[in-house]
Amino acid sequence: MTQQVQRSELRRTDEIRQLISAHRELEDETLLLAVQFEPGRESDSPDDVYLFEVYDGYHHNIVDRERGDFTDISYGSTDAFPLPRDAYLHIILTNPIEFIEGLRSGWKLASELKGAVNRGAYEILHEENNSLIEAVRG
Amino acid sequence: MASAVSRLWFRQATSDFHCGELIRATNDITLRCHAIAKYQQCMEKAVKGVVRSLNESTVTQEQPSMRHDLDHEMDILKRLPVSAKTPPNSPVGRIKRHLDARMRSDLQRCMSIAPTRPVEGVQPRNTEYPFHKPTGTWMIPASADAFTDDEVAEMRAIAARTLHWADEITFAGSLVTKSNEDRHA
Repeated sequence: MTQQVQRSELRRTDEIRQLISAHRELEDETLLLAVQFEPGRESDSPDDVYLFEVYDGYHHNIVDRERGDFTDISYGSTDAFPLPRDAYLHIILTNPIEFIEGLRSGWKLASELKGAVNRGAYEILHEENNSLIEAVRG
Repeated sequence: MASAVSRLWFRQATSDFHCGELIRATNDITLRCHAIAKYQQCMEKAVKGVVRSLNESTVTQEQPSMRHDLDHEMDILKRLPVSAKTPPNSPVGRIKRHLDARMRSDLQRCMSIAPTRPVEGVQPRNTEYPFHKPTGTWMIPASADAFTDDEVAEMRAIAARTLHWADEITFAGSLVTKSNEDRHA
C-alpha cells in the first residue's frame, strides 16, 4: 500500500494560515519559511497537523548539536485550533543555520520534511526567499 | 483527582520570592547576588508552572525543561494558537494578553544572570560562580560592586509581575483541569 499523501490531503489550511499570520507578528524573530507538510508518521494520529517554521533569530541562530534535531512542540485542541481527541498540532522550529545543518546531517525531522517534499505532500504557506526550500529539494 | 503540579511550581516560586525579600531586607550589599538569584529562581519556576498548567489542561504535551534559560518554555508560550474564539480569561487568553515582547525580553534578561557554562573560556557574570569582569579579571558575585541596588529592584519588580501572572494562569488552569476530569469521570 502506498504511503504517499497528496497535497490536497493536507488539513486545516485556514487555521494554519491564521497561526502563521500571528507568528509573522512576533517582534523578536523573523519568520522566513512556513511549510505545512505530512511526514507520514505511522505512530501519530491521522488527524495530526504538522507545520515547519524557520525563523531568523530563533534561539540566537545557534545550532543545537547536543539535541541533534529541530524543536518539535505539540499542542492539543484549543479554541483557536480545534482538533479531534488524541490529535495534535506539531510546530517544528529552527533557524536558517540550524536548518541547513540539520539537512546536511540528516536529522530525523529534516529527513521527514525532505521526504514530504519529495512526495509532494507539502504546501509552502510563507516564504521570504526560496533558498531554504531549494536546500530541501537539492 | 490528579494533583495540580503546576500549583506546586507556583508555591515554590512564591517561596523563592519571599526568600529574596528576606535577603533584600538585610540591606547587606554582599548579599545582592543572593536576592537576585532568588528572584531569578522565582521567575523561572513561575513560568515553568505555567507550562505545566498547559500540560495538565491538555493544551500542550510539553513539560517544563530542566534548563535555566526558559527558551523551551518561551517556544511553547509565544506560539500558542489564539484567535477571536479564545476566551480572554482562559489560561491561553491570559498568557497571550500578558506575555508581550517586553515581558519576554525582561524574562530573558533576568535568566541571563543564572549560571551558565563558560563561553570561549570566559565565565559570564552570574549570581553563583566566580566570573570574568570585562577587563578579564575574576570577581565573585558577592563582591559589593558585582550587582547594584537598581538591579535588585528591577529583578524584584519583574519577579513580582511574573508571579502574579503565573498565579492567575495556574489557578485558572487548575479549574480547567478539574472540569475536564469531572467530565471524563
